[in-house]
Order: sequence, then C-alpha cells, then structure tokens
Amino acid sequence: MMLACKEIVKILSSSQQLKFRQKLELRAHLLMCKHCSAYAAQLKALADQLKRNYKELTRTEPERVRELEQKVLESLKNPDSSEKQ
Amino acid sequence: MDSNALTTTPEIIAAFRAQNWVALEKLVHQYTEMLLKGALSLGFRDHQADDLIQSVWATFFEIVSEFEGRSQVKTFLFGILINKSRELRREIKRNDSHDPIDDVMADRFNIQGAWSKPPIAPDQFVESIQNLQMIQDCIERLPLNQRAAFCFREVEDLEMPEICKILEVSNTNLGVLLYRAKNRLRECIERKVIGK
Repeated sequence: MMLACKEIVKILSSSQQLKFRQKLELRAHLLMCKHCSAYAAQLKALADQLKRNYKELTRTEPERVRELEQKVLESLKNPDSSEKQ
Repeated sequence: MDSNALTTTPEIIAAFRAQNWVALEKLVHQYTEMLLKGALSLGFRDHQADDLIQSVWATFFEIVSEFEGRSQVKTFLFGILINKSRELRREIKRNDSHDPIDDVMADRFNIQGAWSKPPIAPDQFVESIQNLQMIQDCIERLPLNQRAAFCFREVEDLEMPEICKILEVSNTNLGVLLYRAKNRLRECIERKVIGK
C-alpha cells in the first residue's frame, strides 16, 4: 500500500518514530512527489529559521540572571517577605 | 565535576533542611538561566518572565520532598514552568479538543489524500520567513501547548519522551501538538506570502 500525501504530511510533521519500511517509503515518496518535498523543505526551513530567531529572542543578560537568582534566594531565606507587593 | 553541586533530589532536600545556602545558591545558579530562556521562548517578557521563574522556584522547594528523584531536576523544573505558564495564561484546554487547523489541513487534500492545494514554492517560503517580525507574528498565535512542544522539539532539541513528561501528554498527543504547531506556522506564513 502506498501512502497518500496526506499521510506523508502527518509523518513529516509529528516527529514519530518510523519503522525501517516506513522510512524507505517516505524517502521514495519524497523523490517522486514535488508537493510533498516542497512541504518537507518548508518544515526544514521553518525549523532552521526559528532556531536562529530564538537565539536572538532568548538572549539573557548575565546581570539579569544574577539579579533573578538573588531574588529567588532572598525569598527562600525569608519566606514571609516573599509575597508580591 | 563540581563535588559540591547538588545532583540528586535527596541531596537537595537535605541541603534545604540544613539551610545549606552555598549549595542551594549553586543549584539556583545552575538552572535559573535555563528557566528564563524557557519562559522567554514561551512568549513571556520582562517582569512577567521574572515573576514566573520566581514562582517556579518557590513551587520547586515546596514540593521537592515529594518528588523523590522520579525524573531529572531539569525535567522537573521545566514541568513546573509549564504548569505555571498554563495558570498564567488560563489556557487549560484539553489537548485532544478540536482545533481549526485540522480543518484547514484537511481542506488541502482530495478524497484520495493527494494535495488539492499544494504548498507554495520553497524559495518563496524561505524568503518570506527571513522576515523576523512576520514569523514572530505567526508564533504569537500558537496556543501555549503547541508552542511549547514546538520549542522543546525543534529549538531545544529535547527527546520526545522527555517532552511528554514535561507537558504531561502521551506520545500520540505530542505528535498531534507538533503537527498542529508546524502546520499553523506554515499556513500562517503561506497566507501572508499569498496575501502580499
């Protein structure tokens, strides 16, 4: 049984473990089907780009981290004064 | 290896009871940056992110004695982060509830399961996602669980079983979350490209 494009798309986007035969079938399908290979290329590009973006987005200043750590330890030492103002 | 570092939960519990501040400070130091990055990648900013991390630590020390090394400290902390994030957003929808993205995707295939509305050309797609603002717009629209699943998998490169533990979902459910997240993002980007 050949897998339909719809199934290929499910497999590509849900990160499930594949059996050896399914892997072969997936690869063969992508070689033959330009739409699904375009789809796979989109997912790849999306992940790569977002990895780059997230580095930028989640950059943390060392001072900020230090300050936050101090706050955490403060409220750990004085549990009563930890209530938010 | 730092011989003073707290690596197991019994050690953490003992240090907490003994008020061993040197050890506890090390522990907090070891994980706070990771948590902050996590909060930022889930879309919390500034004070919101800082408050979130503080409440994660508070909860961690509240429940650490019941935790008994069932999973790694990192997994445990991420789990608390996710729960706190959910509370903060009041977004406790069930994972298996209906999601409009499923209809959008179904509509792109014919009855045989072949593409009826094929994806746009890869080069067009790639060009458009280099626009940081546009892609950020699309990410902001993802529900929290989908966004978290996507980040943990594609950005942090965590293994599937670990993500399942953190999000408290089954492997199948995680697959559904990833499927929805990726296709939401794709559809959002395609729509912006076509709408230009």
